[in-house]
Amino acid sequence: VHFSDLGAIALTLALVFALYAIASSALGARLNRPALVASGRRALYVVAAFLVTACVSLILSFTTHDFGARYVYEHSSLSMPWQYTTTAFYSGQEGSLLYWATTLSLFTALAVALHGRSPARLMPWVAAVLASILSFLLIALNFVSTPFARTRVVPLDGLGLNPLLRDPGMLVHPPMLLLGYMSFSVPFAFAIAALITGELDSGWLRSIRRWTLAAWTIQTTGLLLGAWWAYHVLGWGGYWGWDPVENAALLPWLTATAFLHSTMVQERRGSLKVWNLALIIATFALCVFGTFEVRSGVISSVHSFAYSAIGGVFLGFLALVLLVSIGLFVYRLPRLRPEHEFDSVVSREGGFLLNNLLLTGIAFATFWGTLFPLLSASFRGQTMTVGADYYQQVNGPLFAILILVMGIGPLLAWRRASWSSVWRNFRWPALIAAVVAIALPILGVRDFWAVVGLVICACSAATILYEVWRGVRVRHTHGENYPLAALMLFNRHRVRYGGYLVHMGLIVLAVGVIGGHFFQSQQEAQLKRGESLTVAGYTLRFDRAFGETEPGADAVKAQFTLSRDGKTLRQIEAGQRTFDGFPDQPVSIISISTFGLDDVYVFVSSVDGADAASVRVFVNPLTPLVWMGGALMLLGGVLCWWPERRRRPALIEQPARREREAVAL
Amino acid sequence: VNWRSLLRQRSLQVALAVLVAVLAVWVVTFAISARPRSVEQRTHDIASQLRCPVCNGESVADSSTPIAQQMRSVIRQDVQAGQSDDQIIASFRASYGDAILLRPPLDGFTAIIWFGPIVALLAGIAIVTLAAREWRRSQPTPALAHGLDDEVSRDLSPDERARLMAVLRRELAEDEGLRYTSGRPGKERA
Repeated sequence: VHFSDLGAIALTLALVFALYAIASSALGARLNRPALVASGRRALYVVAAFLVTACVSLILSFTTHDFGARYVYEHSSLSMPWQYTTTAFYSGQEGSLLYWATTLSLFTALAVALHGRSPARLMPWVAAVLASILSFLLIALNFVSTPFARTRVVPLDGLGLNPLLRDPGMLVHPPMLLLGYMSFSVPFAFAIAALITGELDSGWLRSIRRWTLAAWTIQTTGLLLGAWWAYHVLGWGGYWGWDPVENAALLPWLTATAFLHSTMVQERRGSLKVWNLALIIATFALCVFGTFEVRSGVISSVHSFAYSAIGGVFLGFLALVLLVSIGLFVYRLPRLRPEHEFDSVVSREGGFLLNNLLLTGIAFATFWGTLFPLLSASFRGQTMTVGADYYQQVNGPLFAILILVMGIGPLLAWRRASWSSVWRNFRWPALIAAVVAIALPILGVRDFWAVVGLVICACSAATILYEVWRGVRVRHTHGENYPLAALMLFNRHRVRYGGYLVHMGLIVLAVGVIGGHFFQSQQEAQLKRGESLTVAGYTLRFDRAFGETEPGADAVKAQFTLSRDGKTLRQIEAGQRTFDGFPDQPVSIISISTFGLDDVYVFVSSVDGADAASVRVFVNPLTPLVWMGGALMLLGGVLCWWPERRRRPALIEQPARREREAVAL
Repeated sequence: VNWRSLLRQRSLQVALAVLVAVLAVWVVTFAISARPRSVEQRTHDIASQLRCPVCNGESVADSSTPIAQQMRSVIRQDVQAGQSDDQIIASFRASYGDAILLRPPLDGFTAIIWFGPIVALLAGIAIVTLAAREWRRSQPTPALAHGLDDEVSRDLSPDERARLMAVLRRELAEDEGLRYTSGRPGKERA
């Protein structure tokens, strides 16, 4: 008996219980039988338990090197270090599907367990929808691509893990991104439950507010880690190439960001109900679409290492999701009347509308570009691809406007903002923007669009800082010192100031993107020993090349001395690593050194003997800001999500306080 | 809109003066003293518009394959020989076909890639504008009493206004767990 047999049994049982959970939750809700609903809920806990069992079995199959299991044979080998052997379980198609199902089952269990205070009529349907998604994944895992298939002959060693995946970034990036995809299921389930029961007021929205925030934060983390991985591994000096798979991960993030903003309008004003439902359904559908795209291999991508026959199954699921959602949507349309009309375009609602328009515009352009190869192949018989250039031209201006709106929007009043208040709020930020607009060209920034972008960033950043400063000043006039006032402000209004933190992070990130895009310098050259290359003031001298044997791999490295203005900065090494069993897939060892806000990025494309190397050097100004901004965004996301302490009612507290004060006097 | 009275406002005068100053600096720096792009910049710009023929969705500028390196050096030679960007791209298009282009031209079928997002965005703007017209036509709901916005405060006497502001400030301060000080009215805005 092998661990994989245990896993296979657990998967089958999980499917049985998931199907039971659908039936009993739906029937319980329909026939109004609380016992059936409770039974369905417990069935979901059981599903989670079985899936965790299956997951553990797969990991144990890997760590015990059970090469009789085909999946283990295909994705690991004896020479791999333990951390890659363990994490190899989500590196392939079947295992990542199992990982997805397992995390979804855990989130499902959490969702049904934690939502005692959500609208009671919704919960059975939420359970039924989540159980349906789980059932789909379990059917795929049981019948289409099972990770527990065994071969009759047990090989002595495995094939090993794809070299591109043997990177610390790979330990965290795919699980995070999959977790992000998966976690949008919970908000989607609430939306469908609201449509089924017809309880379409903002109750369901309040229940999922923190779930959506969590999903958003996870997806943001996944995207940032992906960018970081690409930067450190792929060797073209950048971190975001508008690759179809990157786009697929960005699309749900865009619609989810739009959703997080437009829900505030529904919670406050009762409008945009149709729009919110459409956005959350679109987000989930885009997650499924992204999975389909990655798995099916219909669009060529640098990520094309996970495809298989499962693409068709996901396409079918996507069609089913869209069909059911749109059907329910049309059925419930008469109940989706807004409670309040909009009063004015110059208002907070108006700002949110513009934000949504821009975000969905970016999402559409990205979707359109991603699908273009398919469109051109089917209509013209020739596969044409659009590159980063297209996305930069279309999305760049939209992002710039978005950042401007992001600065202005939060300071507009709900319903209607008077022009005098707009002037009062924006005169100082506008002045700072003007100063930046004059200073940058004089200081030597000669790219027009870069200046426009940086001015917009300065304006939005100034708006946010000015707003925080005013909050701090008010608290200061009430007797708090400045640091305490700032801390209390962020602590007591977590959603609002967490949001500002996210916005600030995005601005910092945007400055980093602008720097890398407009001011990158690069050179490539064949260097002989002792020769050097100068890029943007940094001089790289080629000292020597050498070979190294590592466990499971061979590496050739070139050693350089990096200097600026005649001063030696540091010794660096870059080269290529070839893993055993993958002679045709060398992986580059890239050296990135950060000096202030400059990244010096050295990529060695080949080493010819001990005396010559082909090297490509990029100097990326401001690029470290991308990661700092990203970190700020995550911090803000967590702050928004972090539960606020419930305040004790003032009436009960007050007499006690008066007594204390009396004693003190 | 009465432009003459608008122009007499200090705030607008200041804003216009700043705008003119910015424009003046920009005209001088960008239009008059623009620098030509370097050979390396132009090579990179052209290479990033061409698809690496043997890669999975990477551009010639980004790819590290030998063929991309060769193509980059061909581009560099062409740039040094004085050819224009369009000429160089056209020569690659002639030998590899349309599939080499990462920035599809604005002709025939490939135009849809550019017009798709533009049409979608215009449609979005149209929908929002139409909806906005609808909102303006519907009667505005009476203002809520949760804030002293300009409309409400217009109907108050100065005394009443000061008293209400004091009450509001005290309530907000208590809500925040702050000590309430009656001093410096009007300095802070809630």
